[in-house]
Amino acid sequence: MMLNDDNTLKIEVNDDVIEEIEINSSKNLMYIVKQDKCLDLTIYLSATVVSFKIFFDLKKNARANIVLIDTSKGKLDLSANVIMNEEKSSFEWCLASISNNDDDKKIDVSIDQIVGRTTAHMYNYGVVLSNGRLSFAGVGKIYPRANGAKVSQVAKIINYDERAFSSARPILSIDCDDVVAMHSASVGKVDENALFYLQSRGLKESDAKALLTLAHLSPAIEKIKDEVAKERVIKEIKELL
Amino acid sequence: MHTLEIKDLHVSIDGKEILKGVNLKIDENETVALYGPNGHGKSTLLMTIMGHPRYHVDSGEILLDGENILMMDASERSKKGLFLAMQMPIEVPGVPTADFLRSAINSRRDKPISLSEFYKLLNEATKEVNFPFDMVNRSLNEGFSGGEKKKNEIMQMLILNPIFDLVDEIDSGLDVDAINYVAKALKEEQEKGKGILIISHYARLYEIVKPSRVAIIVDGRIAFEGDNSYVEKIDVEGYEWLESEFNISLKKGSEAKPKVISLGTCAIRKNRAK
Ligand SMILES: Nc1ncnc2c1ncn2[C@@H]1O[C@H](COP(=O)(O)OP(=O)(O)O)[C@@H](O)[C@H]1O
Ligand SMILES: [Mg+2]
Repeated sequence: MMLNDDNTLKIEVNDDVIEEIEINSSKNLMYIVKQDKCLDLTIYLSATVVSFKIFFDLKKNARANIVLIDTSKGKLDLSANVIMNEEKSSFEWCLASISNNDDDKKIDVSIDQIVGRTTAHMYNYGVVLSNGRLSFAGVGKIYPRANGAKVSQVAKIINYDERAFSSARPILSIDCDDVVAMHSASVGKVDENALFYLQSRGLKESDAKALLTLAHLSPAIEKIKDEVAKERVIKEIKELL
Repeated sequence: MHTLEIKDLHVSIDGKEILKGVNLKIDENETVALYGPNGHGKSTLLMTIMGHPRYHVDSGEILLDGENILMMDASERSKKGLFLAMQMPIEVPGVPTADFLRSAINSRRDKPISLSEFYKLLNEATKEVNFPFDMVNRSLNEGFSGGEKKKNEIMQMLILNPIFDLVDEIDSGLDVDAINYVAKALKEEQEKGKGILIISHYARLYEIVKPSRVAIIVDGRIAFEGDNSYVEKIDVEGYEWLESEFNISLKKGSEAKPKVISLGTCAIRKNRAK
């Protein structure tokens, strides 16, 4: 590990690694995943982070599976940049974020697939409560030489309150014909009928919202491999509601 | 004695008036069969009693044991003893049925139910309505068949043990076998002394779950109340007799002054084709 001039902590992944990190203040990280290696990284953003930048450089046939659980407070500028400049690398990003009272969160993920036979999947799930703000921007760039690349992007946000602000912008810029691409984005109000159904069986509004929130964020939460950590996240989300 | 009383209830959806002054009283230990042509407000009445926020109460009262419940949300009404088995149970993707049931049970207890007690209860309730036990691990109602959704409703009713059961077309879309399970469960509710407000188009269900009396909604009002002999009359004749015998218009939005007729036993014309 070493620190660059701009305070970026540089981490070289020379072996298969399963890692969990907790971020509770501003940080810049860079992961270089070496040829044939696999990085399984779960990131928890808690307390007040303000700014978090993370870079991934994937070498030939390298894999990175990233799960990011964001329950941080206040302001957050999160940017993730992924460079896939060698063949057959694959990257998966799965994020769950909650924006509560006065939180203001901007999450940008950009993935550059420069060469062929690379795979990138990006999933961003968010829940916005009271007057929280949350925006997702996902940029997937497929370069002209990236024959046989696969790319997908999903962004889904539900709002629990009229005062909530959210936006989800998926951008795919594809300069190559031989590509499999998929994207979907939705921003919507909580399903009033589902909320009523749960409440009509006795669940308090907050408990009903907690179940619906966990359901919405479950694609990310279910990827947490450590059962203890998963239970802790579930408990923390329930308490936020 | 428990009572559920609806007084001059006016309800609108998105600004359109659907219920136009409903009056109805149900006591515990009685089953009221709610009839009426399609689209005249039967489901609206039940959804409003349960407290769906989309159904806006413009005026009137709903009293449970004399207490106005209109200020309560659906969760409080449930805890007070109301249960609505919905005509179209809502699908809730991502929420496992068992997790939901446990939260529903815990919502009315001080101390959370133990896992063993919960599974025992669940086991009994699933058996009672012949609901496949392993389905409790699936997302709530998601991808359930029509029959499975309805059984899930009745199963929850059994688990939550309400005072008043509001049952909306529970038998539509069920095969004969499923109807029998559901009817048997409802009959047991009757025997326990529950008050039941039930909507069904089929006399078949009412052969097992015998109503105490019938009420008919026409254009957002209870236009007619009578004893249980009207179950057969409606089954045989439909509703035209309301027009021909009692001069009650079956049209929605008719300007005619509303009529409310309350009668005892009826005479049935078996030869309806005439
Ligand atoms: N959720 C809803 N949104 C809009 N209109 C509705 C809704 N529910 C019911 N309605 C309208 O209210 C009227 C009464 O419907 P409903 O109570 O479902 O009738 P019934 O159960 O007697 O067939 C109908 O005109 C129907 O279109
Ligand atoms: Mg109906």
